Amino acid sequence: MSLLLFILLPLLAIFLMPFYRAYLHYVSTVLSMALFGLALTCKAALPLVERVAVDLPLAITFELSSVSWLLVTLFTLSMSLFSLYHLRFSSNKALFVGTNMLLVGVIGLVLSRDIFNIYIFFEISSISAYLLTSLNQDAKAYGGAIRYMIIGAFASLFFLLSIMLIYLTIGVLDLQMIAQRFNLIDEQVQYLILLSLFIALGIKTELFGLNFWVPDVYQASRSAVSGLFSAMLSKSYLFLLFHLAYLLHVSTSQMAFLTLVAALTFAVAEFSALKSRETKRIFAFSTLGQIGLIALALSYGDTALTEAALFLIIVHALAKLMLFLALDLLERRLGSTKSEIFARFESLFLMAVFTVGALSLLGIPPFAGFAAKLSLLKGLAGLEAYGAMALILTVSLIEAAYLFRLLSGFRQGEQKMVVTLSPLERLIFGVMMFALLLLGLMPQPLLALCQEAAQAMLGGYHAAL
Amino acid sequence: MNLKRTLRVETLLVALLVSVTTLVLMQILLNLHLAGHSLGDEILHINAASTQSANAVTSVVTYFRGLDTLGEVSILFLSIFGVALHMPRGSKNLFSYHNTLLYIGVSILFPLMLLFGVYVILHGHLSPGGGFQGGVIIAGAFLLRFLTYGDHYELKERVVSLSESLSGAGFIVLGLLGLLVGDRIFTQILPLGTLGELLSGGVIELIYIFVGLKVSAEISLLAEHFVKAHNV
Amino acid sequence: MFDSLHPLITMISLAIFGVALLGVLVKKNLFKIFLAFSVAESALFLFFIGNHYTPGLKAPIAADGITRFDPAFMVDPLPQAMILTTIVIGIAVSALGLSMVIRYYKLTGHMRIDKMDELGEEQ
Repeated sequence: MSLLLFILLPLLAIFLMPFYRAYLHYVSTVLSMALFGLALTCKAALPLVERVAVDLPLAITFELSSVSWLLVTLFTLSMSLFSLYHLRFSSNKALFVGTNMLLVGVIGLVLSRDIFNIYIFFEISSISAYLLTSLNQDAKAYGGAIRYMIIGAFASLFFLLSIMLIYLTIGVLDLQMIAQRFNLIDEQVQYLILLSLFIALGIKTELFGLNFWVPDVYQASRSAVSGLFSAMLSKSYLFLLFHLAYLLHVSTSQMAFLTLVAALTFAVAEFSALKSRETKRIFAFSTLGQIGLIALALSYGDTALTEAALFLIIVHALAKLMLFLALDLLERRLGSTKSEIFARFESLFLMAVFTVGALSLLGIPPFAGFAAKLSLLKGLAGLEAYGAMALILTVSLIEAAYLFRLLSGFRQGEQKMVVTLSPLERLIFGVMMFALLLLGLMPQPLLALCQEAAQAMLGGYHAAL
Repeated sequence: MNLKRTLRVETLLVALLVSVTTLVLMQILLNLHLAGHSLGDEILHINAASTQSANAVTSVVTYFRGLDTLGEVSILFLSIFGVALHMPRGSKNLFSYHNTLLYIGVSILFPLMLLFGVYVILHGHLSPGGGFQGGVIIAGAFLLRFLTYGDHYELKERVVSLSESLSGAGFIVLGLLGLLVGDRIFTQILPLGTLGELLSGGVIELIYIFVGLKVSAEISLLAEHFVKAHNV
Repeated sequence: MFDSLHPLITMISLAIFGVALLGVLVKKNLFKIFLAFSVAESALFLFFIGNHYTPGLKAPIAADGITRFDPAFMVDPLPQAMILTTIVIGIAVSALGLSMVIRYYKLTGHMRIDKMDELGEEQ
């Protein structure tokens, strides 16, 4: 058993593609479910550390701590659901290559502990995201993909600059060793490294000021692919950003800056969603808002809040993937994603899916989002951060306004098209709805896992609050 | 035609911003204290013992950081896949010169370039060069053919895709064999040989052959897609 | 004027980096933007490799009479390997970007970034 199997197996499946061109959707499903199973079996042996080829300090280290285990499980689960959903469609080469490479990229980002190796996975996940954005091959798709590439090239330029500075001044590439010697270098250079890391990862994490491109990219992609971006891509970068922040022991004022940026991300995104009349953009803004919320919680460097943030990551990934997959279903039947389509279809099941997803995003009991927001608010109350609590509660009202406006579309319209779902689709959405309900009613087991993960993620970091 | 160029305020502002940023960067980076001791020094120390490859850069690329190279090869695959998707190969070639001089020159050069490419790939662990450089030289030979033969020449898709997929898979299988034979993924599983000989370096040679095959197939395909992008 | 070449290389490469950054931010043609990114990347390579070279050191290859690997008279091989990897990634990204620009041009008839208006609320 080796951690690299998470990387090597999908890559092998991609390279051997010419031998099973017609069965790619089956291969993808089997592969992602096998990886999910593999991730589950790793639980007992945590934390796993593996070095590639040679010993430290030369080796590339892979580490499966409880927090990366949580994320890897989430990613493989999302990918399994995504490929199960696509089982009904014919074998698609571009979708197969793009999604599996994306999986390789995001898993590598959370497992790798070598800065240059992380850069490689950074590029793998970005390039597969560009490819997935342009999947529809029309002017819209290319417009989105080109914008994405330009901003992504910016991000990788700054990531590269920070790696070069790290190697020039510290002379190592392993994250742990960088962290040990980071304080010994010039203060100015430290700032420069942190700033370029923030620009690079902030773009990818979709933080405020660096996220103007996100709605366009989500709108240009297919809805299902946007769901994957929302569930996997942004989450892996969020982890990476804060993992590096904790590891490099950034100062309190720098963390406060992150808190400010996260709060702005949250508020501005939810306000922008209010104006939008295009469902994909609304969901994109809502993703941005939730990312802001998660980043806000992570930026305090507190165990209880980190636990809540990890729980929110999982719940949000599930809810958003479900919403985007349901939207994809509608888009394929009705040919549009404007918010008026909610008045144009007739299907009790899909209405239930959208309602559960929206209620969970909002944090209304008994759904999982409630448990997440509750533990988040509890954590903030524990730190006496009343300003942040007030902000979350106020902005949640705005969130409620646009989500309910979206849902109220169900009650309008005369000529409704009956949308029927296949048994498999009912199963997928049923499982996801059930999971959201179950996590809302019994959050304790997952919260316990998240607590363990939060301790692993924070490591030795204690913010001097 | 109006030859007078107008400079907009926005452009000037951006230029000002960029120059200030550059100056600040320069001020910091000119006083950079380089690390006295770096990872590369340790690699030089153990290179002879662990790889027996005469070219230390090659041992880093293929052995110490073989995983990075696998990622890099995957990125190349991904992007060529994207190019092929966005610009399906047309039948018309952008370059159709029908030039006898070019024709004769390329007929002589083509086999020589292939040979030289193979030489560079096989001697990657002895001299500067290796899989990427050799692969690009081979692709260059094919590019010359595209320039010369015009519409009448195209790559056999089956051969290209097979060599691409098998070489990629071979790289990964080599890594996995490390887990079975040795104790770690991407570890040395072959006898190391003597420094400076053609058959030395253990897996390095094999990895570079796979990389060379993959890169030459991919870059040739890339060249073909751009050369025949006429009627997309 | 200088003890080593490092300050000169830093200044030149950063100047190139600045010019490329300017190109990225100011130019409206998508093709030129992608080219500017390539230039910026090359400037970073120059900065990195240049700062790692000390005059007088040899290439880390055991040939031409050198039989022993020693950091005392050989340059660090790691930056070269890293740059080798990064160059290939750079090629991959610009190839993909340019193919998208070509396709976009065929679909819309322009390749100006300020005229890209197919996404947004109205569509």
